[in-house]
Amino acid sequence: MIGFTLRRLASALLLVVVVTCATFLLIFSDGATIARATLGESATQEAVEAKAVQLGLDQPVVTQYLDWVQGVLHGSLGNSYFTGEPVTAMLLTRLPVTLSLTVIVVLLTALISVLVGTLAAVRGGWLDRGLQLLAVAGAAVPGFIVAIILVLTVAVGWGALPATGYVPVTTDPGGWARSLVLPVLAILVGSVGGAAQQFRGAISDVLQQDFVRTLRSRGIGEFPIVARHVLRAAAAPGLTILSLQTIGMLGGVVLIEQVFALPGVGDLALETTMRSDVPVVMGCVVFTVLVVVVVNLVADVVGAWINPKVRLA
Amino acid sequence: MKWHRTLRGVGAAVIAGTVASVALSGCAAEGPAADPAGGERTLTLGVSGEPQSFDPALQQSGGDQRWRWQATFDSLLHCEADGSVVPNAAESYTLSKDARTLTMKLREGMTFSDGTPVDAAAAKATIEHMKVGGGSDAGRVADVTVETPDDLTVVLKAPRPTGQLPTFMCLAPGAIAQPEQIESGAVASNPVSSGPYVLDVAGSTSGSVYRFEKRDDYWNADAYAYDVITFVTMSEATARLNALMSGEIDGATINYDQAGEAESSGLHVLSAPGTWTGLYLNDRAGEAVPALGDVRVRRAINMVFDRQGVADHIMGGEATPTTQIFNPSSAAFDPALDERYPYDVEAARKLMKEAGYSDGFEVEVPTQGENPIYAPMVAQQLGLLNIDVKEVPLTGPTAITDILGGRFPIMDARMSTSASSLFSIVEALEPGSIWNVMQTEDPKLQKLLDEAQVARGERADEVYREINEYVVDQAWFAPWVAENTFFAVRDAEMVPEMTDPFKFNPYLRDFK
Repeated sequence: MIGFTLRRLASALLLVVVVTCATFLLIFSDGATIARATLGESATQEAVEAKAVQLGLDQPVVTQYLDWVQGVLHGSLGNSYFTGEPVTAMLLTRLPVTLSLTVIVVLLTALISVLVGTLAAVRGGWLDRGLQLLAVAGAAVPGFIVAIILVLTVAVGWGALPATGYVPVTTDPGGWARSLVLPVLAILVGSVGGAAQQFRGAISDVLQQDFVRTLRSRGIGEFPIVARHVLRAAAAPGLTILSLQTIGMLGGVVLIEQVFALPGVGDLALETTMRSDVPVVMGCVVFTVLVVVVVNLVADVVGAWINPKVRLA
Repeated sequence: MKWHRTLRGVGAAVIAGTVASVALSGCAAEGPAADPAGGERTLTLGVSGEPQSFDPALQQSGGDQRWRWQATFDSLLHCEADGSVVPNAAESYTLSKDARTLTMKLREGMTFSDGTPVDAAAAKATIEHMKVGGGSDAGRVADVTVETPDDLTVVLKAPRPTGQLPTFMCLAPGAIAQPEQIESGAVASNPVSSGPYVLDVAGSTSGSVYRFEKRDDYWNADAYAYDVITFVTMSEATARLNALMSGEIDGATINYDQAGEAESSGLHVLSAPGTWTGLYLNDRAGEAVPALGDVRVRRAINMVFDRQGVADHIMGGEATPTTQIFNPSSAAFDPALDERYPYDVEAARKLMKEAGYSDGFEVEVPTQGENPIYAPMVAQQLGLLNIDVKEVPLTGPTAITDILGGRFPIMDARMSTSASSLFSIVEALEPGSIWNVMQTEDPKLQKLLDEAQVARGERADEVYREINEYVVDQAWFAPWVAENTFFAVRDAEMVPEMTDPFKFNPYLRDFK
């Protein structure tokens, strides 16, 4: 198990290097242009050149990337070209927002989809058909449309919940929860729709297998069969679905953060990419890659723990 | 494509993808600014731009970002809605006849929020920091020298006539920060205030919410109605409108296509013409495309656009047709000039024929992915004159470099305008102007431009009008419409009008 985890970690490290290097090369246009963007349209050419030198933008891009890597190894993600703020400090104020949102959504998605998917697979009939319909509808309607509908009804219409903003949990736990209800709901509609259907499929496949028939023939009740055996057997595809959903969600969160004015990492990444604030974009990328790596690692390790055959792969 | 130019740095124009307009409206009652009998009055404003450091050298003069620094740093002078410059921290100022020397007398007894004096040395230190601090407004004062003959006198000297010096002292280069803080860098995150409010660091979340408390010892404290002002960053226009409608904020810039929804939900919407939209005929000297050097061709281009149609159908009526690059409220603007180029394709073709270009020519026009509303219209209408438009898609931060580098003989743009005519002149018409991208020089115009820098009073207004008339007659541009900008507020009584010269949003002191 330890060897397996180490192998996964090594490939994760490789992923981090490849993704950050590729991103750096992609977003880096040319030094003078970035310096011009930081100074504004009216800056003189001399000022732009001086700024480029000051920010190290006159160096070859590979040198800049290596400098950045060296900084990361020393625990520094550099400073924003635009505000001069340390990137780590900027990320620290925004991580709680994005993490609150994604962790809550992932947990709720897992819980609800397992429940609904299992019920649909086991019961079938109208419940199953209803789920199919809802899943398609949930997947078809973009999260931001759901968000706008929720805001206009719940927040603006009834005044029941805030339409925008984020309250740190340390300041006011109640306010924190209230500020997250609508954004979480907006993402959940799409993610539960998709995930529940996948769970239903996985469970339904397992229910067809011979061992289930054998268990039934021995007179074991339907509930213990599903709870003890079927769920466990369906866990591997379920975990894959959840990890894919989590990673996909990082893209959707960008829009949701914009609509609800939540100061999260997605919002930061969008703003800073538009103006080539390379250090901040790289910080956001590192965060995103880490989430991907951690989610995959957890899914792999848990999957291996549940199903010993995976460990050998 | 549209160029959304921000006032950052430049001087000028605020444009903005979000064109702002102001609205005031009345519904109100339980908004966040409610004033519980004699209690603390709080104003909460939504801000569209990403917050920057408080370093005064990095501040921008336009957009809603300026509220934060204007709360924190007093400015030497103040620009009124009509573009005129009035005293502020400086109780008087004089600009020398040759427009090279600006002398300002500071008020006596002003202090920073930590009790240290706001004096000439502080003003000098801040301006000198602006020159080298790496911000976008540095260019405005780059070659200005600052002298302080005594504690309360600040003298700016420019190497050439610069009629805009007083205006610059209303903008970011006129801010006053504390010299020790500039030196130590502490000003960036925890600034000592010379202005009407002081940042409440503990009550703020960097990058998201900024809370300011009023300074009762500020010299002009009576002019500010609110005890607390909170700025909430909301880069997405939808979020700003939602927050306005749910009463979470009191005011914010909104987009033109949101104005109707804002009004129908009981918000008050202020709007004023704040930008011009149309074509820059950059190559009016005919260097890259000789045809554009012929004034008849440029006039013909002006005549193939149905300006009223653009205003009514593309801008949903939130714009007025114009042939001028000046703000309708500025002295240079002349309504009669708007009749100069009626929509008349036949007459335009005749002009092209006279000029010997009835077969047209080929021209590169940039397009930008985000806002291609106008691109098909440009290609189609210029096609009526057999002008073959080659669209060149531009993306990302390199776009502005390509544009400013003068690569395109024609480009469409959406530029902010100011009530100050001189401001627009300096932005777009001088050979060295940032938006005169091919650096066109015209001896006849140059005489007027030189006079504009030093002229005063009625003569100045006359010169501005002559410049405008000349530029319209010579068809340096092909403007289509003056677009409104929009600002929505909770309550009609909060702000009477769009009070800044760029018609982007009201000053903090104007929220009542």
